[in-house]
Amino acid sequence: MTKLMLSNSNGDEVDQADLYYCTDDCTDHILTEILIRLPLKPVLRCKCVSKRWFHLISDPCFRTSYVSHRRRRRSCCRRLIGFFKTPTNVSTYVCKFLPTITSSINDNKIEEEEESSQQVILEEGEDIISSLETSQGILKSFGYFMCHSNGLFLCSNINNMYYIYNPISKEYYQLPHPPKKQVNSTWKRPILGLVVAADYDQVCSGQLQFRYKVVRAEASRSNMDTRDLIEIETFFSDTGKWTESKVAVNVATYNHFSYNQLYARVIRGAIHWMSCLSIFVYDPNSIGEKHIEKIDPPPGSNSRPSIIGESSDGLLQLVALDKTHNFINVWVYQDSVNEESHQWSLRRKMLQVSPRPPSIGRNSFIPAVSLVALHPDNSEAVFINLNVAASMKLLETREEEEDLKQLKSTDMKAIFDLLALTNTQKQEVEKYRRALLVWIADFESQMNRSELKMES
Amino acid sequence: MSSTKIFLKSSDDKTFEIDETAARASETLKNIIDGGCLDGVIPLPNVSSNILPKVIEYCKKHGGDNGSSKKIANGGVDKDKEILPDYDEEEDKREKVRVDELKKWEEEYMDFDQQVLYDLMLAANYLHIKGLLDLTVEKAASMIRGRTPDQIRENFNINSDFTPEEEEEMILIEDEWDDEWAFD
Repeated sequence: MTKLMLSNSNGDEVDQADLYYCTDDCTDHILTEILIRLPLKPVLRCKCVSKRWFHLISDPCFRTSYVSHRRRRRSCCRRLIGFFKTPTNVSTYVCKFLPTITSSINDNKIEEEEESSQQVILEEGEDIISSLETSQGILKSFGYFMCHSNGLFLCSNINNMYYIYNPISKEYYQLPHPPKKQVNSTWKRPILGLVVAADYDQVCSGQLQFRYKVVRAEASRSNMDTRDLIEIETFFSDTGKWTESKVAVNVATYNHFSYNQLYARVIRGAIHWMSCLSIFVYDPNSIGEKHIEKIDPPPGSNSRPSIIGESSDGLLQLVALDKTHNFINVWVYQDSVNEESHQWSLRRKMLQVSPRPPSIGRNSFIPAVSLVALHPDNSEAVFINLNVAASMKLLETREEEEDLKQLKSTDMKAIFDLLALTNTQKQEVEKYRRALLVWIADFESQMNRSELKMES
Repeated sequence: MSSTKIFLKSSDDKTFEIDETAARASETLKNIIDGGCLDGVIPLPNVSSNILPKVIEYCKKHGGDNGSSKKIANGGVDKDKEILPDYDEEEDKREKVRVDELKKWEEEYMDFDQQVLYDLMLAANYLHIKGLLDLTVEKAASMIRGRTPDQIRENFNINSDFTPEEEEEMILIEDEWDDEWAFD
């Protein structure tokens, strides 16, 4: 190496051409361009390289460039897809962000995951983690992650080929072509769901015989005559075949169903498709005539961002921030007094203590906190993402009012304490054995973001 | 105007020829051309004759088809376009071949030593060739990724100008930095 590459800006070896214009600006600009492409941790580590690097990285201008570059790249977003348990160790949870089709459909290339941009943590979880790391590559060849159930993934590519993938055993199965292989271009992308019957005994005994159903629903936008039917194709792993059926719906449901982005979650064996406005429930296992039930979000709640799951007593549970963004409300969907219909009832209200108020960004309203997921084993606990430090925390909800008060006090800090996986904090992690912390330097759900924009 | 030739003069007074369409891959050259100050030869006092042919090679490949190179560079997605575009299997295949071919070309093109990389970055920056800058900068970033500050210094021939005490301090406060970086 003859020349000092990226050397000190007042370095002695100056390119002859630099007479023409300012080297400092130029190389600083280039160095910035290089560094903004690195994940956060390495960038911060780079401060140690030299004084020049230190000053450059410490400069607020650099920070601005870095953040805006991340934002742009984040257009290929990652979404929390769930928690996985190993058959042998039920206390291991892994949550993972994977590229999803939502935003990457137009993108030929899924960005390589960066080492420190996401971390999956839990004791004894190493094997799962590495298995998921490598599965990323496999998933890419399958197309896009669509949804998951009981640890299986449903993936699909642009040609409407479907794959069931087990990220733990790394086995996959290619589904036969669905009957409506040729998607009419006026049709919306099919809405998908996967329901896997859990049979952990079998899993533990090494026979990975998952039984599952894949549901593919389509609502035609163009055909005005059939605005009360949703066509459903279901794949049964038992028979290895697709069957077709139609479900009658009302026009409002139909419109919602066909115009909104839906995300599938399986709760009590039924697929819950969630849009920014409603939840649609479809149970492929129900006997008799199937139907799609539309559930509107609880009244007066800030419908987004919210998360759904199963409550400890087996009810549909919805956790949402209220309009002020100061409280987290936990709702359950249960029989009303006259038992004729279901309705939402507020189970508890938690004060959400955030280190700082929501900020109004240039383009959107950014809440100080966003909800991520319910704890898979404890529906009283919810993972939240404090946008302030780009990290995710576990917030244990308390039933008693007294506890709520406690949460307001400084004890709150203990809960919010960063359980980062640094060596010094290992004990802390041990203390919160069941807590999973995900270090997500560049996570901020694009999904929540765009929907918030819609609201405002 | 398809085959108008432009002449570029390197810092060491060598002249190179390039098609106007290719030259337009560079914002700087494009402005000069559009500005009408085209006086036979464009002098490029910042680019040596070692690097200029390399730059021209890139421009030739990318001149005129800003579309596809842009697509890759941005990795971007238009959020409003959530609906699948009309799907054409053949078109998709052709696109894939095109992208693969471009990737292969880029791989071969980028096979050079660090010195060239440095000069090429400077040239791309000066000539405002975004695609080339992205490409070179990305390569440089990959040389930093996963390295310790010591390795970075060695790799890029940088002398640490911190005193040992300062350095110790840097390591100690490293963890605290994270908190400064709220993503608001």
